[in-house]
Amino acid sequence: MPTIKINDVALSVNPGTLVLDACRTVGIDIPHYCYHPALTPVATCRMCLVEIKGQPKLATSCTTTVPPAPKDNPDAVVMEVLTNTPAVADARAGVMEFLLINHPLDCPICDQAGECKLQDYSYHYGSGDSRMGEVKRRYRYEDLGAKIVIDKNRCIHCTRCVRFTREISGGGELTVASRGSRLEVTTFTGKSMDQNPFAGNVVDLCPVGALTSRDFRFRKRVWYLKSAPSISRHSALGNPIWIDHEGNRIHRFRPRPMEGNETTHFISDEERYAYAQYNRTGLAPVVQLNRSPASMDAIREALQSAGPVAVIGQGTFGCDAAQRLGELATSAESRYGSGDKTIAVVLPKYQSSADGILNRRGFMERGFRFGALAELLGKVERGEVKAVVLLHDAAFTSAKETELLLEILKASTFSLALEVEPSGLGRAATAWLPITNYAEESDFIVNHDGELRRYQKALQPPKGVRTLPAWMKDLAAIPATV
Amino acid sequence: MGVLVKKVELSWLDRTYVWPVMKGMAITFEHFIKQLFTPTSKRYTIQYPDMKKEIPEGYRGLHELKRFEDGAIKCVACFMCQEACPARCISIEAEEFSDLNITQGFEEKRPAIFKIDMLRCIYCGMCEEACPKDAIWLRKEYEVAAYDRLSMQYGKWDLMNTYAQADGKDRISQDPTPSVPRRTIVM
Ligand code: SF4
Ligand code: SF4
Ligand code: SF4
Ligand code: FES
Repeated sequence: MPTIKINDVALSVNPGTLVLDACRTVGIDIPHYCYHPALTPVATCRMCLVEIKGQPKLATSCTTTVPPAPKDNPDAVVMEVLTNTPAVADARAGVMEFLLINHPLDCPICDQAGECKLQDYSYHYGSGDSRMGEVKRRYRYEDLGAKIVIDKNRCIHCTRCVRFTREISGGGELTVASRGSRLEVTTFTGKSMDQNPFAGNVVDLCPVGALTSRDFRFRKRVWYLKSAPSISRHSALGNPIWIDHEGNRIHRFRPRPMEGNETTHFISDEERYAYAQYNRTGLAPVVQLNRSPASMDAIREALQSAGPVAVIGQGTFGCDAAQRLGELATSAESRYGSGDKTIAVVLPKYQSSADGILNRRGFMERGFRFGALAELLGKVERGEVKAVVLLHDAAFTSAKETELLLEILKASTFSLALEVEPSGLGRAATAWLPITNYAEESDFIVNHDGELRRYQKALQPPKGVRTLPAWMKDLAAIPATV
Repeated sequence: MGVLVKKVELSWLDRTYVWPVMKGMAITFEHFIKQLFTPTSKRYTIQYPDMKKEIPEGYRGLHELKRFEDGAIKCVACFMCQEACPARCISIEAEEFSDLNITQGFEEKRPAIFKIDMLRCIYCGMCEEACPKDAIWLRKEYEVAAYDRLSMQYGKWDLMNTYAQADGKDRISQDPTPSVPRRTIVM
């Protein structure tokens, strides 16, 4: 492998590596706007300029690659990069000044403030004041539909958003029009971002506040948000996301890119806007037996005296929950899996499976059999299984399966439903226990590609609502004989 | 090292104790008579609440949320004051409004709710200092009292009207522009 020197630190890298990436591996973060690991480099912003020995001009590190080593000396030093010379500092300050010439500097009303690259780099590399004496350029407001709001005045023309709609999501709704100082990011006439099922990503991509989400707009200042690493339940891969929450409410989901995994940079809008269903509204649900509030002991007694127990677990819950639920079943065969949601595959690269039941693998590894509910119904009707424990989330089950589950519940002598909020199905069960939703607990899943993905607790569950393992511990406990 | 107390030698006149008492009473009566014949406005004692002290410039009294000529609030709900407030007594909720076709910098965000808990406020002026829009001022009103706690929670309209009377402005209780998300279809 050829060696390159970055500020006198020697580093051997594969030929063809971007200088910017190489610098990053030795802990030198080169400021950049237009470079994005998942998009083709275009070198429009000029922020990433570095000095390369032997080259007369500064070079953009986001497009400069490490050349191959000569044949006779594979470890030769092929490049010397300097990132801290006065020329580089000067160039960065110059670029910052140019970028800010027409920038409205309306951070007080800008949603990006707090996570804005323009702010960050301005502090690091820019100057405190402006030499711009003229009136700043103003654009007309353009409507991008119900998801995205654009403020062209703030745009720095990095074209990340344009490249995203062309290269990743397809559709190419956005484009760059005009030239020079009149350059603007716009849509082709009559198009909006509404048809794009991945539109929300342009908000994350935009390094400044030019593209903001209508959903999150003005809702919270980002520095008040706390982030918990989690996963999206609405994709087959369990895409890693951040849950941004404050005051025990989730305010947004955003992708949590993982090192070296390009597909984790983007999530679909369905996943992005799913956060609302994990915010609890109304009163906390209570433990119920025969539709009236009851104690845990009564339910345990009823379950333990009922007879053989079968469990039905929906494959959207965590592996820990699956394990504990499985342990409740009388025999290893009486663990059944449920859930039959499918997701339309829009971008095959980002959605490797149409199966909406993200932890199917994890449940199967723990002895749950999917698609065998009809068999269970037969067993219940023949009286081989008396009690059924159901772990359920109405959002992931079709009407047909719900009906089948309902029949099973009705046929059994005792049924216990574990749900976040009582659904029609849950109300039909003899007993009902409130469990935490996934934002309120820490667990992990095994996704369709066999990767283990963890998620962490973000919200505090209301009083009386417990995690499934906690309930299971209570249910399995042998009551003290008096 | 101890403190050296100088012993005062009293003269025989002082030692009678009657003479010093008389001297003191003379001062008291002198002031009493003086005050009787001084006009009220020149006296040291201010006859509060009939009279009020002239408040110096830069005094930090009750807050005012400033408005533009047309009654629009100057505050853009940037949360800087909430961030700066050491007493944590400001709470804001932002809303979107605009019916403009041209993006005009600040005219699309404003507070829907702006509350200051005057019981918690320590009148430090940090909010005024932090405000990038010069929208919150601490002015000269200092008689902030109420019979119950709830009346000490000042809302957006309370804060916008705190000095309306003093400045001879109208009291307002409505934004000139309705709260609608920015959206223009025709180009
Ligand atoms: S809108 Fe944002 S992402 Fe798109 S070109 Fe402008 S600055 Fe870049
Ligand atoms: S004066 Fe000080 S304590 Fe009172 S609201 Fe302003 S910042 Fe807070
Ligand atoms: S700092 Fe000023 S503009 Fe910002 S929210 Fe407070 S009063 Fe409004
Ligand atoms: S990041 Fe290299 S030019 Fe923009």
